[in-house]
Amino acid sequence: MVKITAIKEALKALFKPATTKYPHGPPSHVPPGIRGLPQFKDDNCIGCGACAVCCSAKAISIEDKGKTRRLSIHYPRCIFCGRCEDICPEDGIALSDRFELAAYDKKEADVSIEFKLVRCKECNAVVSTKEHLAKVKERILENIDPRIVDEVAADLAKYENLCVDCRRKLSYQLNTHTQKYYSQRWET
Amino acid sequence: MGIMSWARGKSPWIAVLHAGGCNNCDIEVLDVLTPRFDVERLGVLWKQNPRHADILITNGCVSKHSKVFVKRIFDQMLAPKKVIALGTCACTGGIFVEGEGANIEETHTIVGGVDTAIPVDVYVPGCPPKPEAIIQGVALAIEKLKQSE
Repeated sequence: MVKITAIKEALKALFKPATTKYPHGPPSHVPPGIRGLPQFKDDNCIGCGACAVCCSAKAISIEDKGKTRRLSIHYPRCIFCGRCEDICPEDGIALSDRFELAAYDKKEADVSIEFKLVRCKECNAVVSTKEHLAKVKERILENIDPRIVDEVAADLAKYENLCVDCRRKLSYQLNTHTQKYYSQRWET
Repeated sequence: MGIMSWARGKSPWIAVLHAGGCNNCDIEVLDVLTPRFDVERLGVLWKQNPRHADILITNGCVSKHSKVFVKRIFDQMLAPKKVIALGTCACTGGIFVEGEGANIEETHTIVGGVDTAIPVDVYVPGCPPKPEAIIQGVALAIEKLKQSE
């Protein structure tokens, strides 16, 4: 197969020069699935930060300031491995086919996306983004035993705006401890 | 733009410097010289001597060991001289440095990108950059070379 394409290429070169006209014309061949600049999809991204955690070059960074979360890719540092695309739970980031990235300055070389941040009601620590919490809630209610869905939904409403530490601290006060689900002996 | 800078922009001579790293960008630089991508269309002449060159292409991250030599080779070039940082490692240090995003912290062996040792004019990110991206970087460097006196 490789030989056939090589022969085709050689025969073409008899009539037309094989050299590309690149800076003055289009690039010669951009294969499908080329790994170019990773880009966020505004509709799908929920701002969970999984891409920043798994980024092997640490090109993606999370910045929590006030009530906004900013995810940005410093692309002079990106190695285009595609791990962010693999790990994203919501298909919110994907490698595009943009590879012409040469520039005079690298200070402004960022691709970023912003979210509204939810902070803890008790201690003002960072919880997560609104979209992330909504998605987590949806997933939990989908996958949990249908007999306790209403009870869990009521409990989630109590502690969804609390951080991890405060959830643990206040679990008995709010009566949201998961022990109570296990103690119900269901007839199976 | 004088006649000298016009002439310089028509035929820049290029030297390649490997500062450290994995050698993949070197292989892509060889691709640029093949008949398919032929960077010599832009008037470039490939010289492996920094004393003759106008543009220095550096690839690979700069280690503490090689920082001195990168600096010395840059000083050997005659002005006006332009530097292209080729590849992610040369731009920022890539996977070899600590810190998150634009904050780059050096490790015990690697200092960071080429811009920690010498002034860089054109950054070409990519791991490795596609040959077209390298040609685009060279074209940008030539534009800058034309403007310098």
